[in-house]
Amino acid sequence: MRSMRLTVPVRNLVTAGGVVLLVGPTLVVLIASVSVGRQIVFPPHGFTLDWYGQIVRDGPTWNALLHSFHVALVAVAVGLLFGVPAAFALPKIGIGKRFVVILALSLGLSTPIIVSAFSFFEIFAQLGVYEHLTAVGVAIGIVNLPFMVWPILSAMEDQDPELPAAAATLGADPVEEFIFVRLPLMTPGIVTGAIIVFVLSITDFVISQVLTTSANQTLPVFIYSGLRTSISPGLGAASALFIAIATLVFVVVLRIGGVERFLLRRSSS
Amino acid sequence: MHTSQVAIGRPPRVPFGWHVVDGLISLRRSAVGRNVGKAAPLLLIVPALALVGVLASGIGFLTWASLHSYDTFLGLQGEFSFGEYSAIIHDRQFQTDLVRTISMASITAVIAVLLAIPFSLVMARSRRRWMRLALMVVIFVPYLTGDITRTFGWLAVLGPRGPLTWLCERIGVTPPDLIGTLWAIGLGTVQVLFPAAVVILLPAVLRLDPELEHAAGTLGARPSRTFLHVILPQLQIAAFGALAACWALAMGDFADPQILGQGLKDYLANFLQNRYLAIGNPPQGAATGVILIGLVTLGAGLILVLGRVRVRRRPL
Amino acid sequence: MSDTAGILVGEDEASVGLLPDPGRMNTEAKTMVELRAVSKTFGDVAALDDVSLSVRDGEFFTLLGPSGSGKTTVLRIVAGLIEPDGGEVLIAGASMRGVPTFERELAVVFQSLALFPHMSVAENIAFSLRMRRRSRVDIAAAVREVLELVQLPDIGNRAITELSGGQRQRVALARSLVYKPRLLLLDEPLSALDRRLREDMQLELTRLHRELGVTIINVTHDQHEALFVSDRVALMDAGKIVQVGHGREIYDRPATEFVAAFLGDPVLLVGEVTSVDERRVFRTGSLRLQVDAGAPDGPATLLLRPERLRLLPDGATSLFDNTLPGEVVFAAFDGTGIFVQVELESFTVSVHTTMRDTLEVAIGDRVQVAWNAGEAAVIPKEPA
Repeated sequence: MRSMRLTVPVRNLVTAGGVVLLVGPTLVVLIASVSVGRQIVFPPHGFTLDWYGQIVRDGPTWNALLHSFHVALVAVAVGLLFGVPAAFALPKIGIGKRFVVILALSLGLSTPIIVSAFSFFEIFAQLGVYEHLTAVGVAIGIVNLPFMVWPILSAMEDQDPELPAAAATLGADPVEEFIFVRLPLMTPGIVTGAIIVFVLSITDFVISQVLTTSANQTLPVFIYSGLRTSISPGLGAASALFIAIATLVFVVVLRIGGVERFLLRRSSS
Repeated sequence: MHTSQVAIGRPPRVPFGWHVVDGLISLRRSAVGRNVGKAAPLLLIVPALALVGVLASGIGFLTWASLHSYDTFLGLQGEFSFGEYSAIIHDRQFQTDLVRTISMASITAVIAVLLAIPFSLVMARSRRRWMRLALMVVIFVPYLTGDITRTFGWLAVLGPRGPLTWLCERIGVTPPDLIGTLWAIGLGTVQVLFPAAVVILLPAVLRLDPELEHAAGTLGARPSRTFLHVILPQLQIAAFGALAACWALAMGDFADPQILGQGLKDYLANFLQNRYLAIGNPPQGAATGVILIGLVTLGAGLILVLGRVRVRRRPL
Repeated sequence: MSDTAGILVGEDEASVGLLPDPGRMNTEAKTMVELRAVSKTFGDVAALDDVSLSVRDGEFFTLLGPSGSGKTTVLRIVAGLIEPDGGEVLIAGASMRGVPTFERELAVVFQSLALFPHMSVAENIAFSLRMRRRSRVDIAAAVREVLELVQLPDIGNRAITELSGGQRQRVALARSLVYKPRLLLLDEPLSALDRRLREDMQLELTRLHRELGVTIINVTHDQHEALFVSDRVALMDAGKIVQVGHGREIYDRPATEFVAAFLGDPVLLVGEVTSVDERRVFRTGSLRLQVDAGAPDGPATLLLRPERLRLLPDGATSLFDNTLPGEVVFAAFDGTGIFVQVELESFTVSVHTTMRDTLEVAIGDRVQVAWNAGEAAVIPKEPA
């Protein structure tokens, strides 16, 4: 259509601009992580993979990475233990109650993250668990709970609502119906939720920097303290790790989580 | 040949797995009375709610702490009072940071939503699958890499000897020193607001009827008019929803001002942390937090209400 | 429940070979499903109001009615998916009160078919047998056998998503029949199919019913399907059973106007029946029509079905009991015969004939519409 052709270049320009803005910094980090030299220079002086090796060799960096894994795994465990049963049970309660519950579970996301961080600070101090990495993991798990619940709900929504009834008519006890019908169908949603929570937890900065100390820093906090001195390619390599994890996770989620179908679904009128 | 045989018999040899299943079944039968069936869903949800209750009680403790006076010198919490609230409200630094946060949040939220609209349109209407996937990667991967990686990237891009400097030198322009300015913070904030805006706008964009735009075209409307008068009004509610969400996120932004602003252009979030930890007055930090929650709730609510107001058209 | 007072059985009934096999219909046949005064309310809507019926062992029984009539609710109550508010449900003589669905030993085919998407065809079918802890060897044999029964012998390993619409239907049936259930419930499984496939599946259902002898309760809003496949049909409206009987019976001798109007495309005339000389006459307006000798006096509705009426050329002598002149306002060949609308003096009537050598009619022609007294049923008005 003639009228559309004029808007298309404008639209594409804006989109292209957006792409550059969004992805540019990430690419620069990747370039920096393999460049030679104490400081980040553009264009880079040379190519080296040494910085990646340093992550493993350097004690504090490696420890920080381990701490990050610890926190992330705790957060995922929290999501699985608490979020999966809740997601499973949500479709069975009335719409009004469901809305309230989902709103309540999103408390961590709807509160400004710094306020959540210090709220945890307060209560952990009361409970005496401050300075435990596991507590940090729990805090991050609580905040990211919706990211575990939501993919599972979305996966279940796609299913025929008569499947449990069909299983019952075929002679399946509720336990059997859960194990052989409901659980296998929920699994892609559970996996999606778990890896989304994993990546969000391992890269968490705001909550970690409030709740951790110099003794048990996670990697993002470690990088932050390094940033205050100078931006070196070494930090770039550590950050690039996160880019790799994030990209990998996104690709996997795209395949099994039906992200594309979910985002681009056309709701029936 | 009429009524069928019903096969209930269990043969002697049963794989082990079935014993576990049978065990669970008898567990269910004995433990769960017939009436618990209705309550069971809630039983599964209560643990998650209790967990979130931890955060809620934390907020409660925070609020409680904010309502006490504090002696920073002695490090002692005093009696119940609104003293800390009035202290920060009158604090110059707080006022500056408050104005800065609200204005920057408003500006970046608007920019993010305005950019997200054409982005969503392209993504929803692109016929090529690789294009849609590429756009999705571009939107979400930077968000997924985390605050540190994002801001580190901006530091590298905008810093001395970074690509921006290199580009400016090529063009022959003096490279601007953006680190530590609101420009850098703004760029970082828009980058993190983008995914939220797109996720909220996409459903509305998908619901747009292209026929309406074609009709407008055949009636002689220029593309800009079509965009303004056909597309945008349909997106109004979603756009304001995205605006509210982005504004709330931007108000609470910590990492961008902290790292890209380098402590020179603090937001309320940074102010909170400074008061709480650096200066060592937890009640003041807590009070800032309570104020921040209130501001965000009110502001987001206001934006949503505004979004429902139908823009009056001038009579033809 | 199958006969209501005042319904006539016309003299041509016996000549039609559609009466069900007397051997199956004898009163000593066992009752497989019985509902006694079952009621169910959703909110303030009475979905079922004092419903009682009984389905005989081996019968193909259909619940027919418009949406909202309660037929699906009946099915779900029999299946145990819904608890009735009042009344009893018995299967094979045993009360189903407190018996959950998975213990009722029945089979259901849902409208959406509800095939398990994460299992193959064979796994879907095997599911019920695995729940009954049968051995692998038994299961494999049973799956093979039932796939042959539904004429899909080679698709055991396919994924559900790879199947065509007709194949999915058969797999759903196979899944329900593999453990040889005593009762098969069908919840409008054919309604989403296009006409050709639907008709194929209807034939398929009757074949399976004949081969297995399983009791079937079918729910549908499609009257053609109901008449085609069933031994008996129960017509439902607004939560009540209006009439139960063999297809022919409720088609030709409906108990109420609702039943009459629901099946086929009749013209209904409201009037009253009296005696004139020694004949029974139906009076409406200025029209006097002869009706069957057994019609009771009083207000009634006359049922004129298009297939029962005949067209005669204008002016020809008529040997029929009732002959009315009129003008053709519409005529079309619809594939099975000729559909004609004739405007008579006081009303317009539709006539459908399948005889090839009927007279050629065109719009505007004058014709005569004729029928015999017994070919138009009389539905007495129910006392208020």
